[in-house]
Amino acid sequence: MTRLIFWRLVQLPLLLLVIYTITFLLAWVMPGNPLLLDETRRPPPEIEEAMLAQYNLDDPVTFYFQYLRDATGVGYLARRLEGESIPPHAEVFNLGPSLKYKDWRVSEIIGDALPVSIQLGAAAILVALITGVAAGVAGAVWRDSIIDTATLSIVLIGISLPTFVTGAVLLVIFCLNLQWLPLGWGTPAQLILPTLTLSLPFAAYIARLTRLGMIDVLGSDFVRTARAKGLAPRRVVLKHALKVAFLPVLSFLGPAAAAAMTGSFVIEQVFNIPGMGQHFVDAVLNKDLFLIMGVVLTFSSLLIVFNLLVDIAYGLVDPRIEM
Amino acid sequence: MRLLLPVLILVGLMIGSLMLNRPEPRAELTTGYISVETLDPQIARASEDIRIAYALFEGLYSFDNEFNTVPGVASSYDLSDDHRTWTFHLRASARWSDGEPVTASDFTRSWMIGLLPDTSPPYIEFLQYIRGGADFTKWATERLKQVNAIVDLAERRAAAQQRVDDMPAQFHNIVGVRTPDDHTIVVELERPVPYFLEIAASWPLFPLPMHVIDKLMQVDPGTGMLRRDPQWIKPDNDPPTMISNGPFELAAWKFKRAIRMQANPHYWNADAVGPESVELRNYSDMYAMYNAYHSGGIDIALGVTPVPFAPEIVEAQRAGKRDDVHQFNAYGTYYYACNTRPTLSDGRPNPLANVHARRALAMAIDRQLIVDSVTRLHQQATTGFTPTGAIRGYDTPTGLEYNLEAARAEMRAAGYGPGKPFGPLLMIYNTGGGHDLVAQAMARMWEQAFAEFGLEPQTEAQEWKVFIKRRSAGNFMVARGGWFGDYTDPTTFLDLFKTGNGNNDSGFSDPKYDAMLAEAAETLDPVQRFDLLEKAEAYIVRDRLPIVPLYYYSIIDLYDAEHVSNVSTHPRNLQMFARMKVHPK
Repeated sequence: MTRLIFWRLVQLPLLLLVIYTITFLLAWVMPGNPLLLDETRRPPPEIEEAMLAQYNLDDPVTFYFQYLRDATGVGYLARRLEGESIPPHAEVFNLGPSLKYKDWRVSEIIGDALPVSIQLGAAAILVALITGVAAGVAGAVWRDSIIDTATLSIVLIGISLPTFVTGAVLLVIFCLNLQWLPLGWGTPAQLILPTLTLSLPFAAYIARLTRLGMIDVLGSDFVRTARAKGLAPRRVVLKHALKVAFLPVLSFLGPAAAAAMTGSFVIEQVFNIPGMGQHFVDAVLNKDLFLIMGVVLTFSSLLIVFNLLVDIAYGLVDPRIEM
Repeated sequence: MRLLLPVLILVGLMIGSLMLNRPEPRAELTTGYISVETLDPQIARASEDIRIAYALFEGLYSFDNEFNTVPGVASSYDLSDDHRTWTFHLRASARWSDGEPVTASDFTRSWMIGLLPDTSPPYIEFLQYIRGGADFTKWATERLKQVNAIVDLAERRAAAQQRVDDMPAQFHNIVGVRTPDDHTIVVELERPVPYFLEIAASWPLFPLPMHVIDKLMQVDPGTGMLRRDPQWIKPDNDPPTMISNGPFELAAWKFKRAIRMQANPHYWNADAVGPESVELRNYSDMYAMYNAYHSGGIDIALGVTPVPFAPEIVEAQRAGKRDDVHQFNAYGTYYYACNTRPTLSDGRPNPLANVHARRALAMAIDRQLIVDSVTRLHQQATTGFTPTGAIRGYDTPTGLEYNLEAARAEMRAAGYGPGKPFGPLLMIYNTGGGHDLVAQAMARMWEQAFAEFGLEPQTEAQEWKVFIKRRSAGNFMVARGGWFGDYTDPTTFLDLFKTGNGNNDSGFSDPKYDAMLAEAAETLDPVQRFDLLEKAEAYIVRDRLPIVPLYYYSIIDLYDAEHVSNVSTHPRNLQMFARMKVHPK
C-alpha cells in the first residue's frame, strides 16, 4: 500500500512534465498571435514586438523553461535567495497571467472556477447516489412491476441521452418557458437544473448497478435466513441486502466523482455556469497559452490524484486486492 | 455506509456555503457584457473595455451623447494660432475617488508610461500626436534592446534600472508636454491635428492614479521592462489601489461574473451622474445576454447584433411590434478588399492589379439585395467608405453604383472577353458571423455578371487567425474586410490606403493618393481640408477601387426607452453609463 502511494507520488511530477511538454508544443504551433484582437486594427510593429516580448512569446525555448521555473516556484525561490526585492503581490507558484484577460492571473481564474466545478460535481454525485440507489432498490424489490419498468425506462434515457440534450431541454422548459428557475450561478435555485442534468447519467448507472446487485443478493441464502428469522422486510432489504449490493456502486463512485467534477463542461456551457469548462474552450480559442497550461495541468493533477484515491479506496474496501 | 458519511458532510457544507452566498441588492442600472480584457484604461482596446474605462475614468475632455467634446477634467483650453499648441486648464475641483486632487502631473506621468513599449499600449498612436512622442517611444525601445543585449545578469539588471531612471529626464527633454503649474498642461503637437480635442478626451490619454501605481511599478527581471502589476486593478486591495477619477468607482469585480461600479462621491460633476450604481453581468454569448434581457435580468442589452435571430428582431421593429429595439449605423464599414499587388503571393499574375477589373467587380454587386435578403438586417448599403453622417461637415462621396452594363464594359476594358477568359477569382473570408452568406451571394453575383468573361469565383472560408494571416500576406484576390474608425475624422478611414499602412491589406500604393492625403494634412482650414479629403475618398471609391464597399455595420441596442433614457445612438457608439437615466418601472 505505502509502496503504491510512494511510486504514484514519484510518477506524478514526471507525468505532469510530459503533459506540460505535449500541451506546450500543441499550443505553441496553433496559428495566430494570442495578443491580437480578432477584429479591426493592428498596433504599430514595435508594439506588437513588445507585446510578445513581455511574455517571452517571441522565443519558445525561453518560454518553456521560464514557465517551468515560475510554475514550480523555482523562480520565486531563486529571487528570494538572491535577495531581490519581491513585488507586493508576487506569488510563489506563478502560473502566469492570462493573455486574454490581462488583469487576472491564471491562479486566480482557476481558484475562482475550480470550486464551482467541484460544487456542481459533488452535488450531482450526491443526487445521483440518493436517487440511483432508491430507484435500484425499488426496482429490485418490486421486480417486473410498473415501478420497475418505469425506473428501467428512465435509466435507459439517462444512459443514452447526452447531457447537452437533457440540459437544453430542461433549460427551455423550466428557465425559458415556465420561468420557474433562474439561469446562472450563485443561488440554490440556480443549482437545481444543472445538478439534475449532470446527475442523470450517473444516477441511471447507479440504479442499474444497485438493481442488479439487489436482485442477486435478495436471492441469496443469508437473506432467506434473515427473512426466516422473522425480520421485518424493510430491515432485511435496507440493512442486510443493501450492504452487500452496494459494493459495486462504491467502486463506481470513485471514477464517477472524478468524471462529474471534471466532466461538467457541456453543462456549464448550457447553463452559463462560471466553472472550469468554459476556460478550457475559451483558452484554446484565444490561444491563451498560460491559461491553457494552467487548466490542463490542474485537471491532469486532479485526475491523477483521483485515480490514486480510488485505488487506495479499493484496497481499503476489498482486502483481496493486492497492493 | 460509514465510508459515505464524510462525503455527505462535505457535500452538505458545500451546498450550505452556496446558500449563504447572498446576492447583492440589484444595482440601479443593470446591463451585461460578454468579454472584458482589462479595466486598465491605457491598455483597453475592445469596445466593452472602453465603455467601462469611460465610466471609471475621465480625460481632459469628455463626450456627450451626440459625441460632441465637452469639458472634463479640464474646464477650458486655448489653441495657438499655428494650431499646434493646446493649453488645457484643469479644474481645481477634479478629485480621485480617494479624495486626492487630480493634477497636471497625473496626466503627464501617465502619458510618459503610456508612450513606453513596455506595456504595449495598443492605442499608443493617440499619444504620439504629441511632439516627440514617437521619438520617446523609439528611444525607450532602443534602450530596451541595448539592455537585453547585455549578457551578464547583474549588469543587465542595472542597465534596465538605469533606463527607467533616465525616463523622466528624457521625456522632459524631447516630448512637447509642459506643466507650468498643477492645473495647466501645455501640449505641443507634431503637426496641427484638427480633432485633437477628441483625442484628449479619449481613453488612451486618461490619467492613471500615479500616486498609488508608482509604488507598484517594477522592472521585470526577465525582460527588463517597466511593468505595473495588474493586481492594482482589483477593488479589494488593502490599501486600495483601484482609484479612479471618473463618474464611478469600482466596487466589485468577479471574474467572468460581474463588474459593479458605484457613483464616485469625489467626482467633480457628481450631481450629473445618472445611476447611483451600475452592474455589468457576464454572459457567455449574446444569446445568453438576450435571454437575460428578455427575462428582466438586465435593464439594457447593448450591441445584440450578433444574435442569430437579429433579422427577426429588426423585422419586428419595422413592423411596429416592438418599440424596445434601437437600430443605428455603426462607425464601421463592411467591404471586400481587392488585392492590388501585381502578383499574388505564389507568384501568379494578379488580374485585379488592373484597375478596370476592380471597377468591374464593384459595379456588379447589388448591395441593396445583400442587406435586404442576405444579411436581412437592412443595414445602410454604401458605395462610399467613410460612414455617412458620423463626421460633422464631411459628405461621404458616392462611389460606383450597381450597373451591370458598365461593369461588363469595364471588364472588356480590362482586356477580358470570349477569347481571353478571366479564370478563377479567389475569394477568401472568415468563418462565422454570417460572412459565408454574403460571400456566397457575391460569388453568385460576380459569376452571373461575368459569365461571358469566363470568371469563376472560388470561395474559401478560413478560421479567423488563419484568414488574417493570409489576408495580410496578400494571398488572395478578394478578401472580406471590415474597418471601424478610431476617431471622428475621415483620415481614420482614408489612411487605410496610404502606402505602407500596416492595415493596408489591399497592398494599395498610389503616389497621387498619398499626395492628396499629405496636402489635406497641411491644410489648416477645416472646410478646405474636408474638401480635399472628400476628393481623396472619391478617388478611391470611384477611380481606384482597392476595396468594394458594401454596407455600414449596424448596431442594435435593446431597452425600454421609458425605463432607461439618454442612451446614445450616435455611430461612435460610446455608451456612457453616467449619462443614462433610469426611471423606475
